[in-house]
Amino acid sequence: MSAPPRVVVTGLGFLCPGAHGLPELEALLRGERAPLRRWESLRAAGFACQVGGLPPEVELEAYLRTDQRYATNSHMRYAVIAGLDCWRDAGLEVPAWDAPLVDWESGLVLGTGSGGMETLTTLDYEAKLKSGQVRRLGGAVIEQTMMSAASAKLAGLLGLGGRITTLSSACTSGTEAIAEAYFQLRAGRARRMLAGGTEGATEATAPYVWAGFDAMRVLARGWNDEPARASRPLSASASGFVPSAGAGLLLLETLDSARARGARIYAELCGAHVNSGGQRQGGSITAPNPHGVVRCVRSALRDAAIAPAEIDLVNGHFTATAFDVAEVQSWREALELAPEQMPRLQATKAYLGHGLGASGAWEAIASLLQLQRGFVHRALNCEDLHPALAPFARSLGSECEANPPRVAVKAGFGFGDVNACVVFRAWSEHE
Amino acid sequence: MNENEALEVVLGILRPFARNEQQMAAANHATRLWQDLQINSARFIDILLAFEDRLGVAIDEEQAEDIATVGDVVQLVLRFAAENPDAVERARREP
Repeated sequence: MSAPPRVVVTGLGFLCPGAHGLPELEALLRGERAPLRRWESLRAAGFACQVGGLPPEVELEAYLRTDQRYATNSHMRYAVIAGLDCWRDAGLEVPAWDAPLVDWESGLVLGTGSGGMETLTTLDYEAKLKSGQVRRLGGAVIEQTMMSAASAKLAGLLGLGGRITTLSSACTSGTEAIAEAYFQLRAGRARRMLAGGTEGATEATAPYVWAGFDAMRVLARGWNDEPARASRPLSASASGFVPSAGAGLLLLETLDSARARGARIYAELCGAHVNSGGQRQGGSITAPNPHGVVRCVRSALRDAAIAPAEIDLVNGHFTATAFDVAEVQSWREALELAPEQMPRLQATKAYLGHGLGASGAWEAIASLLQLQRGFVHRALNCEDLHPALAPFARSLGSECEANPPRVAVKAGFGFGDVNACVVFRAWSEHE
Repeated sequence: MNENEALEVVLGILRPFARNEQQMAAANHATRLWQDLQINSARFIDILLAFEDRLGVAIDEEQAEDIATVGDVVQLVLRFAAENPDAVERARREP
């Protein structure tokens, strides 16, 4: 039996608060200010946390024809923008809408937390049902609210003929989608897989998508007047996460496929693992079982054949809730390193907020960008480092560093006690 | 409402739903909704609702089943206009 194919990243597409595309993301991550804002729609709805992050306006005409824009909600549009950007970034052509060929060798795995739930409000779903007007909902509800809405839309634009699916595992979704696409490629079931995450919300619909989180008191409190400082992972003053929306897509490809078409390679995706803590041993629907986290990270590193000492950058889940400290402890246990030996621990949510199903993909892309561009972003908004993390202060650098990382580990955890971890290595022809 | 006016109303409603923009730009009475404009079954439901909103009269399911071409829709609109001249004239003036 031949060895499983190596998997490389050959395209990236990115849309998040404050950034459309990699140059804008790089500028953002080299800066010192989160692009999060206070929103009137959240204030009017009575949110305790009125801070959130929404992506910049993008001219849709460059992505979708008139008929293609019909029956799309924001989680579909964000996925289309990041997905087509990613496809083009990889040097591939977006086919004409009526081109007859199907790309049988390419598939798509997309993660989302809330899917198209915003459509239930924009179509006035409840009012129509209560007034006996079901037929007035029309023909466009299902294609926007089925959980596979975004993957179906994007795959149709590209004529993809491999496996097309949407998975959902709460805030793990984006990371899990990358892992799942990697498993497909390793098993020889495709040559190329688009993978990533998307999360919908616009200024009008954000209250509907985020209300449940505010009501369960997991969103940041007390920072409405200082939105850029509201997302505070790892700090003593962390008071919950700041919700945000957008999408991030990666093109994963077998090394053979990338070489055959002379593709530019960002990095190798050299290992992954997905598991659950079973909602036991301290785990619950909202809390991770630390043993599950440790096993997930260790399994991904074993799959990657990477030793803990080789890791330069850990891009954690770190949401600015009570679990940040426990997560640092889990990383330490997983890597079996003393606190002062730990690699750089990074919380990208301090900049981008928590994009729920998109965040794992955003943060994987942020990690790849740092590998490729040779920098490590600063620890933002944790000038008051949580006292329990004092032994790790060296790993939580407050300055943006020009130290090029070579190995980055990205993990995401989610409601339901689910975990996913992926390992990237800077690309070298000789390895 | 004469036939040209009815055609104008029909094309205005169909335009955003047509996948084939070239066929849409050149559409006439003989243009077929499915094969030429490539309108799918989900969009057709919304087209029926759009007519209801514009003309103030619902197209029932039996009438909808007989629709194949732009001309078929024009004939339906003309029949509605004859039966409900005020509603259709108002809708035509205030799109």
